[in-house]
Amino acid sequence: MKKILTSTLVASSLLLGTAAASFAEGSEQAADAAKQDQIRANLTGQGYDVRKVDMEDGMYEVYAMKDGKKVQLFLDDSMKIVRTQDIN
Amino acid sequence: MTNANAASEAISPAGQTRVWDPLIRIFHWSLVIAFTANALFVEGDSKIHLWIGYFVAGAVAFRIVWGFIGTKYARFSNFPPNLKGASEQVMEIASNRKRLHMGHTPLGALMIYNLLLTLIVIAASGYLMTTDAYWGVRWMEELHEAAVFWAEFSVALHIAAVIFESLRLKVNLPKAMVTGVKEFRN
Repeated sequence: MKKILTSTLVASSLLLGTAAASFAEGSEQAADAAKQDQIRANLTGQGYDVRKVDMEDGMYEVYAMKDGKKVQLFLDDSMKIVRTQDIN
Repeated sequence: MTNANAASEAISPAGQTRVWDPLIRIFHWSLVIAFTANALFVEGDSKIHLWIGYFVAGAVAFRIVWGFIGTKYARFSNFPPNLKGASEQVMEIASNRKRLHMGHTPLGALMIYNLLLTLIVIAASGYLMTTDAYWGVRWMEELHEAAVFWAEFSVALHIAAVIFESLRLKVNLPKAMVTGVKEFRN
């Protein structure tokens, strides 16, 4: 019985470790507040309805709506839009 | 009435019993593949993540229908949520007594309801994240992620419990989910 419990505990902690690691791995993070405000203001001026500003792989990733369409924008460090992606 | 039914299933049979029908087994293992793929490997903002998500939603919808019209051990009436039965099962484990169940055990049943409900939350929040109304809305994304984390925790617990019960009761439960047959050894 003890052996069964031990092996089960080992197996389950390994699994839990995997789950926790995959949770922590989520690479999107909220961008810092000042930058967020700046990006929001900038894009709002260009007619975007900004929903969310994240950091991903060193770039700002913006979720927004424009002309009733969902878009994802990627901005580099200098706030320049390097990629726009329409989501349908 | 349902309690009496559940109790009458908990006999001590020797030999083999066909319990899981083919659709239940296909449901189980395709869900394993789809959930693992989406939770651990496929990027959240990719098209394929959405398609796998729709598949999971469809599989869960099938399972709910099958819970009403399916084969004997697939029906919800065969494993109603039963807290009394579940605590009895805990007592039975604690006191080193063995009682074999043909279909789902009371604790197993609670895990199934937990997983089905969690998958519904994951699929619904995931779908909503793609709608205009919830596009880029952070709390919906957080709900989606929290539900996925809860599902991962539940899956880990489910696997641990299956291993534990297999060893304790000397019934190869993972094999039964492959072949459909529970083999009770005495």
